This record gives sequence, C-alpha cells and structure tokens, in this order.
Amino acid sequence: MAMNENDNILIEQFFREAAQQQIEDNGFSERVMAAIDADYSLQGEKAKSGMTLIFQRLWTLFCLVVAVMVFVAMQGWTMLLSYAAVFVTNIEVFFRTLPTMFDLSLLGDMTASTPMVTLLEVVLALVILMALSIAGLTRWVIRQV
Amino acid sequence: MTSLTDISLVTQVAVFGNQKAFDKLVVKYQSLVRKFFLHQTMGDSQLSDDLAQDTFIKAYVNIRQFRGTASFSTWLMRIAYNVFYDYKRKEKSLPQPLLERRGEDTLGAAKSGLQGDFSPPSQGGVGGGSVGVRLDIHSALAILKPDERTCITLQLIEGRPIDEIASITGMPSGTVKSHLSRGKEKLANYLKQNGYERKR
Repeated sequence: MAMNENDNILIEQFFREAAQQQIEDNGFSERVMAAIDADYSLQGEKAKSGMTLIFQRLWTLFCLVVAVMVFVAMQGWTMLLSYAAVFVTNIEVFFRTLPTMFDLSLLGDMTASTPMVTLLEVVLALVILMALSIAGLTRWVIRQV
Repeated sequence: MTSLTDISLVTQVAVFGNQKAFDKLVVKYQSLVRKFFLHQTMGDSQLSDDLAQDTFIKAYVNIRQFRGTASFSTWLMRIAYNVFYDYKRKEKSLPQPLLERRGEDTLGAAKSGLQGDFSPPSQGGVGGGSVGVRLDIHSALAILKPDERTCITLQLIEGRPIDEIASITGMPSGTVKSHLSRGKEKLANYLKQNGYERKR
C-alpha cells in the first residue's frame, strides 16, 4: 500500500514527542568516567609497562641533550645570525634589482646570491629537534600535573 | 560553533589525555546515545545504559581515529550503531531460554506476544488492539526489522538526513531509503489499526 501525505503526517506526529524527549544524566556520565578511569586512563599509556615509559622519556631527554650539545659545539647561534644577515641582504638585493627585472637585456648579468645552506640546514634541523623534544617533555609534565 | 567546540574538546582528549574534556562530551551526548539505544532495545533502560557506556568507552579509546570529516555526533553514533550490532550478534549466540527471557524483559509493559526483538506483534498489537489504548513508541518500533528501526529512529526521532544515516550505518543511501519507506508503511498501518488516526 502506497504512503500518502496523511500517513507521513501521522507518523511525524507520533514521533514528535520522542524527538523532543531528553534523558536526564542521573549520574550516567560519572559512571562512564569512573569506568574509563579504572580501565583506560591516559589512553593506553597505563597499558605500557613502567619500564617502557621510563625508556621513552630517557630517550627524549638524551636527544634533547645531544641536540643542545651539537648546537653549542657548532656555534649554532652564529649560523643563525649569519643566515638572518644573508636573508636581509637578499631582500635588499631583490628590491634594488627589481627595476632591472623588467629589462631583459640585463637578465644575463644577474647573479643570484646563494647562501651557504648546508651547515645552516643542519642547525635548523637541530633547532626543530630541540623544539620537538621540549614540546614532548612539556606534554609529559602537563600530564603528570 | 558546536562542531568547533567538539573538535576543541576532542583535541584536548586526544593530545593531552584531558579526561575533563571527555567528560564534557559525555555530558553533552549522553541523552542522544542513550535515547538511541532505548529505542533500539525498545525500552530496556538497563541494557541501553550498558551499551551507551560501552559506546563512550570505545569513543575514548579510539578518539585519535576521529578525523573530523564528519561531525563528532555522527562519529559517535556510528560507534553506537556498531556496539548495538555487536551486541545483537552476541545475543544470537546465547542459549534459547536466556534469549526468550531477554525478549520478555525488553518489551516490559508493552509485551504482546512478541518473542525477542525480531518478531512481528500479534494481530491487534499492544493492548489487544482496542481503540483508545495508549500506544507506546517502543511497541510501535517493535514491529519493525532492526535495520528499519535504526533508520526510522535516526530520521524521525533524531532528525538526521539520509546521507548521515548512511554514514552512521554504513548502508548505501538507496538501502536507507528502502528501509525508511518500508518502515514508515508498516508504522502507518500499525497506527491506523490501533486507532491512532482517529485520535488526532
């Protein structure tokens, strides 16, 4: 039997009250959180053995210390400063040569000033590693708190 | 705005393991999830709460799998749907006497010759079919097949569009439409047979 408009209205009216119904919490969320606390706290971190966690944290600390030592040994800050200087110079050169870019005859004379990036890249990678290590440790400290 | 708040709470749970943020999500969605189970189990509140608790625990454990492509409530309802169908599968493997007892408990006051969740009601439905008897939503839902019941409750009670129902149940949209159409037809006949039309 095909449905007609009245049938649809009939059904919608029948379910209207159920659609508006809200169920009171009555301690349900507390029970859920208690169950989570008991069995699944820290999303499986409890499932890892204590030794695994300690090794994980020690490895993070080791990486951080090595990154700092290499940064200091290679005088990373001087690299960063020189990179900043090269960057500023590049911008300056770009703006100075900007008008000549439209003059095709001068294109052949232009030489790009390429900075020494190999060492700088190493320093940047170390900085990123340090930042990641610090973020990891911070997250761990926050969890402990 | 709502989804932004949800995503922010989910992020706090996933990244920092912040349980208070998850508590907020449980408080916010407990009614939705428990209501869904209450309709699937046709009024068994104890069973509904157990299944709802399983749903939230599964959501917590797998929260890092939430990608934000659908809303959090759709993702949560998909888990709820899977929890319910896992339960149905396990229930099928229970010994027969236990299953029958569960069927009696489930329908409670609305029982009218139903045996388990899947059987149609006896002729005349709840209250022997007399006109003027107060019809219960759960006994009306009991005449539907499980998939029809799920689609009907998701659309008529939760107001979800067909594509969301398809996303929650994993059924193709065409199948959802078929379930809705058949379910509505059965419900319309049932309501008419029980005099609901005349009460309007």
